[in-house]
Amino acid sequence: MKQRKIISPIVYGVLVLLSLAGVVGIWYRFSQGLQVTALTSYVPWGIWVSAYIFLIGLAGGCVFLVSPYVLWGRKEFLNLVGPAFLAAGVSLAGGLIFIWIDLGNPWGFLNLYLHPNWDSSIVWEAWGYPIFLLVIAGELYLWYRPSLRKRMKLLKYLETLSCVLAFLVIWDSGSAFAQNFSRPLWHGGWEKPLTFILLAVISGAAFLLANHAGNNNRSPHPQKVDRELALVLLFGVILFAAIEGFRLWEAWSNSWSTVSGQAWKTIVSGPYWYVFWIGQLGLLMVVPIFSILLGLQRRDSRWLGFSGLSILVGVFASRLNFIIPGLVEPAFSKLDLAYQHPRLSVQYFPSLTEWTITIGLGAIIILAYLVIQRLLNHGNWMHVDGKKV
Amino acid sequence: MGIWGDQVTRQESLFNVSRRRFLGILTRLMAFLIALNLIPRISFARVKTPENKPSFNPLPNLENPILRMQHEVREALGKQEDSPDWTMAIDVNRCIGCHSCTIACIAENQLSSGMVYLPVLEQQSGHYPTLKQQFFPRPCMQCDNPPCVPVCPVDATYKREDGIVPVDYDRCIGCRACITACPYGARTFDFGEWHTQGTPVSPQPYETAHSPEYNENRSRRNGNSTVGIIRKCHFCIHRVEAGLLPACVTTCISGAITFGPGPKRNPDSLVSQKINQPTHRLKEQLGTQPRVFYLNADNLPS
Repeated sequence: MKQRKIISPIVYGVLVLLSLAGVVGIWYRFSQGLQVTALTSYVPWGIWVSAYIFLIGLAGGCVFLVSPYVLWGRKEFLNLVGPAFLAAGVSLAGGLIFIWIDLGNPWGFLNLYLHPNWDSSIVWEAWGYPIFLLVIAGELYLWYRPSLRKRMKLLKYLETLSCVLAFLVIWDSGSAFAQNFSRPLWHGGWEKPLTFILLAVISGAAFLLANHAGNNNRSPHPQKVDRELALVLLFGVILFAAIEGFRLWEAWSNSWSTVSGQAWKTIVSGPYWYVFWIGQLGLLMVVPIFSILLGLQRRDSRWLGFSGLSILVGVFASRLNFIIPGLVEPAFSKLDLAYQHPRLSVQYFPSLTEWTITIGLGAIIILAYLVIQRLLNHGNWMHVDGKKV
Repeated sequence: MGIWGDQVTRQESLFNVSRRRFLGILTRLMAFLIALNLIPRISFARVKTPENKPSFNPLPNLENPILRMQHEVREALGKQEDSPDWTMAIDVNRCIGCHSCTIACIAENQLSSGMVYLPVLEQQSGHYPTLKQQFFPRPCMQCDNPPCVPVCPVDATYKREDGIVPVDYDRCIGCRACITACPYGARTFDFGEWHTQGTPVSPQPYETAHSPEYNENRSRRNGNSTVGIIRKCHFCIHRVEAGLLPACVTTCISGAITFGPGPKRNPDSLVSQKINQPTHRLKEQLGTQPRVFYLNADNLPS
């Protein structure tokens, strides 16, 4: 049985144009430095760091969700393996590019390996993610080389290693924020890294569901794997909603009087309220819950695919609402008035260059996924226990 | 041209000469006074090598707080076996909010557009009619338990024995994790902009002049630029190691800022006497152990 995915030339054309814009934007960033951004000394991280944590979560989630087949032999997850490895690889590479261009001194990244400070979580990420990327590359190689496909045992070892690495580095990323007592919105205990892991699983499942159920040309009825992914998403989204809802209730019940409460007030009623109400609440929680239930009840995989896309956008909005509001509350209530300058402001909205690079690099990631997938002829194979059918 | 005209001319000439002569004398006197002030600055090396114990001429009139603090700094530098334990005290009752310290710091450290090491926070307390306003110059706290140090992935920022928390400009990669970690907003990022940004004459020579920070003489135009990395207050360590006081201390017109070796090094120093009085530290509950103490603060900024 052959699966062919026909992508409209228009979509390819748009992606190429956006990618070119992204390349131009990146060149402009390197020629002018970070003054092309709208970042300030009081809001030093913005959309690029948000994109980074979104993409590393997506990579980790994809890796987690192929383990049912690779480690436990559940055949209904078979068709997800190739796309998951590929998506994990390109999104992780894209995430690392995002964080690299965000550095003030990008070429100084070598210092991370020459002069590492092992007390810093960032160093563990800097070492862990490239190793994770290499492991994913190895898994991709093993999966797509027919002569090597029989080496499932090696693939199992690599998958175990990649799951452990994904868990550790994503947990470490969450811990880096949780340990920061200067930012009350971020500061916390184990629930912060756990939220990172949860969002990683959610975004991985959302991508795989959108990719598989949404592109199901054979039948609109969802397959068993689609239903399982949908249930994973349903449970994950409800759990995330409960965690966020508790934090929001905590802030509201204290009349927004705490510093984290003020940050939450900024999130729900500040100038970018729509990121929370439409993105985080709507696209991440409300819309997917209804569309998943609708898709399961009507046995229509297109609703499930739509829910996956909605969740992906919602997770990105959630990451934006994690990074930026954590920084817009100044260290002192009138610090930005003590010496006024645009670069010493607590107001932040990404500049045109930041948007261009974010959208452009996102297009490059999607284009890379589609092109590599086509090159690997993933759609022409269905594998059952390593045998071509 | 009559006698009166001649006399007037002579008188005018005499007057003009006298005025000119007076101005000349005044100018020479001012130049002499300026030269007197410059001589100590020229005499001492701006770069102190570890092997050389700095020698300073004795300072007169130690009743003057500035001269006394300068003497204490030089005395602390003279004994290299003990760490100077640099400490700062700010009397908010003396601070009048003129922001001269902010500007002096910007001028001294050649700070670019959008960078400030020492903003002055304004804090109001009380209710009408007993309102009070106080000003809080906020340098880097040079914390003894700095939250910025462990988050730096490349050890670019670290704690020195003398109490200063510097930034290694060669090692910093500009990740800005330290900015997010600092609870005082004391770190700024050099975005590479100029004060004259967007004008036909940008940048001006004063903007591309070398900065004396850390005695490294960096310019923002050449290869060892500070663009793209973090910069922060370092108690003007390049001045301190030359036997001078931080620019903010010297500039403060009301004597609100006191600096010198702390109690561990010199319990009798002026700054030690200041912090022996009731003092507060900003965000002390975080456990960062700042080295900047505030006196007479009714309502700390939060």
